[in-house]
This record gives sequence, structure tokens and C-alpha cells, in this order.
Amino acid sequence: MNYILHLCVLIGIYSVVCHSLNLLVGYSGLVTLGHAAFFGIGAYAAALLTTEAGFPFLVALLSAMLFSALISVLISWPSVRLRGDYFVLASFGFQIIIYFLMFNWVELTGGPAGLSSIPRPKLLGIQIGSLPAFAALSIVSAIIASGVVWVVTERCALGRALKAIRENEIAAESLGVDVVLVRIKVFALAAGLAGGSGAIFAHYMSFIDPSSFTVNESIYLLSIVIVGGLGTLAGPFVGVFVMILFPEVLGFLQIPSTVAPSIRQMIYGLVLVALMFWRPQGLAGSYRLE
Amino acid sequence: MTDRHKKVFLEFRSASKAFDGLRVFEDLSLSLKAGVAYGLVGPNACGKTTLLHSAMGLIKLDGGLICYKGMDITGLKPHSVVRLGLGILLQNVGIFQRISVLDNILTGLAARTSWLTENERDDQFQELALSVLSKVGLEEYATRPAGTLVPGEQKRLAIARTLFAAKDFLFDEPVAGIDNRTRDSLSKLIRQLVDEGRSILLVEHDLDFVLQTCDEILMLKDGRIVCQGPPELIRDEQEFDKFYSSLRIERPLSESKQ
Repeated sequence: MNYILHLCVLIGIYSVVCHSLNLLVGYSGLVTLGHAAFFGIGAYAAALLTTEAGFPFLVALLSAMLFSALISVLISWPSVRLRGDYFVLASFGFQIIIYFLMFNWVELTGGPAGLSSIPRPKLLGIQIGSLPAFAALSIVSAIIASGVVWVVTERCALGRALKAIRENEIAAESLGVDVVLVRIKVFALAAGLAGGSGAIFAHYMSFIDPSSFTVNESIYLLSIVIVGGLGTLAGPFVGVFVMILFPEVLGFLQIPSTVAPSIRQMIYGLVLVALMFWRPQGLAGSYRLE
Repeated sequence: MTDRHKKVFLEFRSASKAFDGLRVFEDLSLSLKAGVAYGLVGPNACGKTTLLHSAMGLIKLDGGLICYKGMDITGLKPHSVVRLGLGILLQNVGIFQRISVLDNILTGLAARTSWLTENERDDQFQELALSVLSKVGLEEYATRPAGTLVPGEQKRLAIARTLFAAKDFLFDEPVAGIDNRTRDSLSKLIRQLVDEGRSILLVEHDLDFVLQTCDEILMLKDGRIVCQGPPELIRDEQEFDKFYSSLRIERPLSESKQ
């Protein structure tokens, strides 16, 4: 039962970060390899604020979201002007820089040893200490994140501008859409959500180190979003379910434990390749990358 | 001539542009009066579209100035130029296929409203968008995804989108790929816009449409305006007559209207 609840927590946390990534990749057409960096920035910011500064969890969570969003503005200001592959490379560079900062800024981040003893959160007077409480927190967070994405993409001016830019940047610009500003806004929103999920992740794990925020993690997040489906609200949920529960299904195959991780990775790869041929917009997607 | 006509709508001062050392135009000066429909014609690759795109900020000039209603718009980004009131119908249309016809129209407004508000859903804007759609006969399709429209309807949608977003217009080949009935109604629409005081510069290969629709015709060749005048006089110009005859030989008039 505890293991199922643990999976529920992970599904909730990954749903938040994947909804935020879907805003960039699915709704804006911006493929990024740096999203785990914002996840990590949020995790470290919240962990430091609660362990070092003694901030309450909610304040640390909101501060971590704001900090991630601010960093994204600094990064996206120059990088959203880049197009296609150049933008992907810039996001990759950003991911590498943040990873090495986490790894080498030992005084602040603890370096490879990471940060430990991150306290369990207390939210509105309720101690979130047990697995069921954490599962509830992360699922509620995922619902809130999907609600935010729905409001922004379906009910706000920003959503229509994003979809217009995704389809034809020049036509959108010719109709008065400030492409750079719209992208900076959506980047800030996506980074803020990713930072928030990082904060919940840090407080759930009680320990974080740079290995959770590598470029591999960014690729993994991107895979989830692409497998689930781009540009829809259901996509990230479907992707998270499939990619997180997939290893559990493979567990029934009785693969020897010495080779199981490698074989799982290969099966992941095969599924991804097959999906790109069969359904390039993802299982529940409405948009395919050009 | 009315007071409106005395005002200048668009002005190019010593404008120069070259691509990879190949000169498109150099030291080109042009002053267009407000409330007039201008037709810009000329041989292929003479720089007509480049001129429109440079006015919109889609292409940067190498030198010179562009002024819209007295304001220097040289180097401004396209979204800033639109916000001043000058809009463009792009040659390749650029319809947003996956969003509705109405949302295509409202995109122009989306950029101006706050990002967390829904002002454009206000009845006033909806009505305005629908009235623009009715001008091009697409009001029945408002809720359909734009990608389901046939190419001629997509062109009409693109025209409606431009009408909604701006006050004065640059039209790049507005009748290319549309049927004769739509072509005639577009001609009437342009005359109606001019009567409302709008200013228009259109680039078009269909010379009969230009002669039928525009108040003044400019011919661009070798990077300069070689002749200019109203339809009834421009045909007396040797350059224009030669160009017009060559087009009729290349492509019979009936075919050019398809």
C-alpha cells in the first residue's frame, strides 16, 4: 500500500512539472532540454529557505516558484529570440550550467553530498508527514497546476497568442502579438510551476542532490510530455501514468535484476521510437512537433 | 482633393535594401497620401513585397527612413507597427489552422489585453469580430477550426483578420488564389474602406483588378518608381503599357482572373 502511495506522490509531482513543460513544448512549440534545471532550482531554493532560513513551507514554496520564474526571465530574455535547434542548444547549455552550479557551489548546495534533513511540510497548520497526506498534497498540486494551464491556454489572451505563435510566428507578429514578450511570460509561468513541483519533491524526499536534476532528467521529462501528448490537458497526465507505471509493468517480466535497468531503458527507447512513427503527437496530443 | 488626401499615410525616404549584395532598391523615395488606394505593380522580384515587408518591420532596411502618418517607424518590430495602426495581409496568408475562425480574428486583440484577463470575450469585441467576418462572408463559420476552410475562404479570413487588427492596410497579392466572385467583392470592400477614410497600398499581379480598384498606380522597376498615375492615365505611360501587354501575352486575361 505504501508503495502505491509513493507512486501517487511521484505521479502528482511529475504531473505538475510536465504540465509546466507542456506549456512550453506543447502550447508554445519551444522544445527545451533545460526543464529539470527549474525543477532543481525550486527544490534547492525551498530546501534552503526551510532548513537555513527557517521559513514556513508555504512561504518557501511560493518563494521557490517566484525565484524559478525570475531566473527564467533572465534566461529567456535572450534565448527566446533564438529559433528551432538553436533554442534547444541554449536550453541544454542552461541545464549544464545549473547542474554544475548545484554540483560545485558546495557552500550553498552541499555539492555532490546534497542537502539533507529537509523537514516535512506543515501546511495551514496541518502536518504533512504521512504518505497519504503527501499523496493528497501532490495530487491536489497536480490538479491546481492543470487548472492553471487550462485557464491560461483556454480562457486567457496569452493562450490564444501562444497557439498563434506556435502555428505561424510571422503572422502572429503581424497581427500585433509581441512574440518575445509572450514567450518570456509563458517561460516564467512554466518555470514557476516547475519550481513549485521541485519544492514539493525536496520536502517529500527530505534529501536532494544534483543527480535528480541532470540533463537526463530533462530528457526524461520531455519524453513524458511527448509520449503523453502535446498541447492538451490530458497529455501530461497520460504521459506520467505511462512512464512512471511502465517500470512496474516490466517488473512482471521476471527479468534478471542485473540486467533489468538496461533492458528497461532499451524498452523505453523502443516505445518512444515506435510512438513517433505511429502517433507523433503523443497518446493524447493534438499537436506534433515540426 | 479633400483635406484627408493632403495628409501623408506612408512615406519612404531614401530607402535602400539589398540581399547578399543584390540591390533591390536604392535611394527610393515615395510619399503616399492618406485615404487613397494605391496599387503597386511591377515585374517579378522587383522588390514590391520587400517594400511592404520593410514598412511592417518584417525586413530591416539597409538605409533610409519609413514614416507612417508622420511617425518614424523605421526599425520598429511588426507588432509595434500594427499597434500604431498599419496592418499587412501576407502573401502566404498564415492562417492559424488549429484555432477557430473567430479566434483567428481575435488574435490581433489578444496581444493588447492583459495576459490574465479575458477582455476580448466582451460582447463589444465579439460583435466587432463578427461584423468584420460578415464583411468577407464568413460569419457562419465563426466557430469552425480555420483549417477546415478551403484556400479561398482562408484568404478571406486573412483579409478579415487584417481589417480587425489595423486601420490602414498593406495587401500583398490579395486576389491570388481566389475566385472571380470573391475578387469582385474584395474590390468593392477596398473601395468601401477608402470611402471610410482608410489608406491602402496593395501589391498585385492581376493588373485588371488593380486598374478597377485603385485610385493611383505605381510601377516599380529596377529599384525605382518608373511611372505613377491614376488608372485612366497610367495606361498612356510607355513602361506600364509595355508591362501590361507583356502580361497579357504571357497569360490571357481570363486565366489571370481564375
